[in-house]
Amino acid sequence: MSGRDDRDDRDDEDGSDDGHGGGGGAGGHDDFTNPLFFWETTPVEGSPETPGKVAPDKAFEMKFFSRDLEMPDGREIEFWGFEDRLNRVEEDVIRPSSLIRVTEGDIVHVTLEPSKRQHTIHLHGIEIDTHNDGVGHTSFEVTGSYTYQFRAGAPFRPMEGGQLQTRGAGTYFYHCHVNTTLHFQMGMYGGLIIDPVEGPGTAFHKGPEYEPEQERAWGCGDVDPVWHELGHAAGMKGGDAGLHDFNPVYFDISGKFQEMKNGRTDADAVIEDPTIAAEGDVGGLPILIRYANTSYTRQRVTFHGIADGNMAVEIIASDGRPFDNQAPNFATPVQVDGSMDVATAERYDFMVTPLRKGTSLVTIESLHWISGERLGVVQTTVTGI
Amino acid sequence: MKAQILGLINFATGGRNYGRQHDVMIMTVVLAFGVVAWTQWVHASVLEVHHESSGGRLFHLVRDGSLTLLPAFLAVVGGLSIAARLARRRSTRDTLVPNSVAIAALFGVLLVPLVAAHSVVDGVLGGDGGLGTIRTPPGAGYLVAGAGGLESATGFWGQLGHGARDALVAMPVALVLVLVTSSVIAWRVLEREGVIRASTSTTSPGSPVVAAVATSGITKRELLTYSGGGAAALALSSTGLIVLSTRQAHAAEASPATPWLSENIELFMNDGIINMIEGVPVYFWGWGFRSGGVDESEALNTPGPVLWTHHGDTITLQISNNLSEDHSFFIEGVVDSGVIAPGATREVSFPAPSPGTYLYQDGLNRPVNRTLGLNGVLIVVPSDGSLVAHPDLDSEYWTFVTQWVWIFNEIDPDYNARAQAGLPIDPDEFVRNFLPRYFTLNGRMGSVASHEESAPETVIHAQLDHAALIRVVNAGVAMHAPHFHGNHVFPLVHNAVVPDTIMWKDTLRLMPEDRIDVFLPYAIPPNAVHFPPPEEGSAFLRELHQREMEGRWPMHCHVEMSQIAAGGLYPQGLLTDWKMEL
Repeated sequence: MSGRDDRDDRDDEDGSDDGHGGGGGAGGHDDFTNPLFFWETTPVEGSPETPGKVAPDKAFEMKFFSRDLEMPDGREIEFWGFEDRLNRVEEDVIRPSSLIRVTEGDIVHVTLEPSKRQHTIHLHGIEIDTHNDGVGHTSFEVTGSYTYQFRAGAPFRPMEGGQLQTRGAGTYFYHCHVNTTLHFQMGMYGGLIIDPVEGPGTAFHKGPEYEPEQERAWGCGDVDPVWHELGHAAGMKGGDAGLHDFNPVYFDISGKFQEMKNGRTDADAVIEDPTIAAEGDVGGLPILIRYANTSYTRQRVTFHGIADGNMAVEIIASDGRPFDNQAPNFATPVQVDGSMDVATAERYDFMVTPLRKGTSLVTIESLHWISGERLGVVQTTVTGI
Repeated sequence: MKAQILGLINFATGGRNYGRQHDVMIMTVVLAFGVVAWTQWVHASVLEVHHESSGGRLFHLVRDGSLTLLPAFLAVVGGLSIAARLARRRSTRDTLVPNSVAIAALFGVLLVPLVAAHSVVDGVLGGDGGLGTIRTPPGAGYLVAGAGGLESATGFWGQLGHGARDALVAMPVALVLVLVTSSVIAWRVLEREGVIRASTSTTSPGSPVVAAVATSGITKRELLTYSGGGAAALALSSTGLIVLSTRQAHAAEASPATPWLSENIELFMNDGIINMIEGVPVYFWGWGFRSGGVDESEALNTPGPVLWTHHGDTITLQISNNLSEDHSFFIEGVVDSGVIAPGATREVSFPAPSPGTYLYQDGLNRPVNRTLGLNGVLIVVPSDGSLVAHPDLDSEYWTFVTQWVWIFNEIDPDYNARAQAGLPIDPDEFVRNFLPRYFTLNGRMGSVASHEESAPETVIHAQLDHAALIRVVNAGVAMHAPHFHGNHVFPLVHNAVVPDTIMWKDTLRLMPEDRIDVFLPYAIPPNAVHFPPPEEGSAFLRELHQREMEGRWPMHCHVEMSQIAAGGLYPQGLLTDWKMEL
């Protein structure tokens, strides 16, 4: 059953033939003091069955890829990720990986096809059985293919008044959970959005409406080029791979990088890409910004338009849970009145209402997780028209 | 056998020979089920321990009653035999009371090992007795750090203590049951004979019941004391050691006798070497302690012992500095010992602050001395002992069943070496250049921190719907992002204050010195298409891991450098598991 012998020796990901080949060390499953415990006991499987598989409402086939991307300073960097081969919304995806977008109540199948070395898909924020959680050391890593199955939406109680009480529309993401420190940094993450039954244009069931054309997904990440030279299983079987020492140089919003100046991000530059920058009619429907900190830093988010009186910004949800004041979740929308700090992997849904015409900057600073030093910045705009 | 039956006949009839063997059986059944029902009621209503649905309780009653039949029978027969001998010696004819006392006493003695064995039975059969679908609402019961005083006392003496207490609780009611039953039997027999003896109605069931309540009259507060003591014992004995050795963790079993720690605790600032997960020795500062007969004054624990107290109590600590430089005992906004010179002992006494979780640390050269090991946690529970983290929270929603403490820290061995060499460390330079290679949760890393065998105080386990309160504390200098798989959580209390908006999160922002009291609902993971999952899936995971994995999810920090030890070894860093009994 254990797939330690299934290891795939194709090695285009890293140029080495590392694989979980320990085959159970001296202590095996009970020697928790063994530094190689996880290396030796994490199962690597070929193509396990999905238990209790049912017909899906939406399906995705996530194929592993490794592609180079040019950084603002001209340097080519290797990225890894997942490309959805089934829906083919976008060709040659690099950063972020293909979007998973589903509706509350959907049965969803996300099929992983690592194709090279072992990977998993962890659906971050989706509360799911261990078998489908995509964590190697509690379930298994995959070399062949595996279909992760889940039901979108998060009913806190299954039924209320005969109706499915859905509470899980919102912003999530997914990522590889194998040697996560490295694989996440290599870019193996993508967005996961759950729409309420009302569909895009409504933030959550019975929640506020937004302008669907002005919905933005900002995955704010960072890149340490040194780490992108490392192999798939770097450090996993011992040896100092330097994975405790992270020094990001490049910073992006959903794959659009901040321009550089003197080896650092240029604090005066602005990302004007229309898939990132947003504009909304004054008096019209508001803008929804689904923001996620996908960096390994503390991010400080500042909507300069608030202080200028150009816009009002409200947090209407976080981590896929609406602030809808329904027991036991008594959160109500929070008015943003200054900068706010966000930790890695947190998500906040900002509802931005332009109050008057004009363009305002939004700045997201990345601060070192210990020293607080400003390592880089990304900047874009929100415009009232 | 004949003598025993004769004894019963004596007993049942006050000396007249109307022998009926089934009277022994009636007595046995009444005694077994009556006493089990009584002890269950005491546990449920007075001790508030076993909270089960009525179906679960009924199952429990039938099962335990049946298991108790044998000792009850032995007690009846043996008790009658003893009483008969005594009666012969003293040649008294009023056998009712001595018979009953003998049976009750013998039954009580036989109960001691039975109660001790009960936890084993529960473990084998499951607390729900296999009914499975019957679950209890949150908000009932009391356990601290998975260990609630005598209920979860482990080891021979712990089990014996639990057995003895329950036997004491049971004995008076056994006496009443025997008296009443024998009276009824005798009454029936005599009535049939047309002889009613007034003397059989001499028992007053009231007084023994009162006595039983008095015996078991453990107030909530005392229970909390025991529970807190149990948790603190766990924390004291096993949270501390960064030593990544299961053997040491096992050696450090909880002592059920550990007292409430707000009184008479001595802390000692010690130093020593602790091996990291891959064997590298690192110098640390940390804590020894002495309290309630436990003398660990030479030990090196980091984090230090978890101190528990009630809001309003006064905490008194003796702190001795066994190190070679100045240190202090400091809790932000609560207490500051001032400088404690090398070799000096200082007493600090302070009223417990408002309910919540507090970080105690060496307040000198912050955050250096804290990060090098001189840290620990003080927990203040509401003065009424309620199972809600803070009085400002609505108990309807936020009552928990178990509570836990997670202390985060990180280690850059270069600075530990500088401390060992007695070199000064500038705090600004420290924060600027700190490059941690190891990350700990309750002083443990990765595989040691995520298995209940090696980290029983850290790996959370509970039943479905039994909410857990986790007091997450950052004793280090890095920002952490604790991420929960399996369930979203509610960060209820932040630095002893209930925030304006309680969010529902899967990832938290935990800054240095932050304490967040997190409510983990232990709900069915709502996105699972099947839950519990199909057996073939669970069996697959079981076979892969040689242990039950379904219903087990990680909590890890999402600032992924913290998942590393010595530059690699993913995920030998800051993570653990939480486990749902399916």
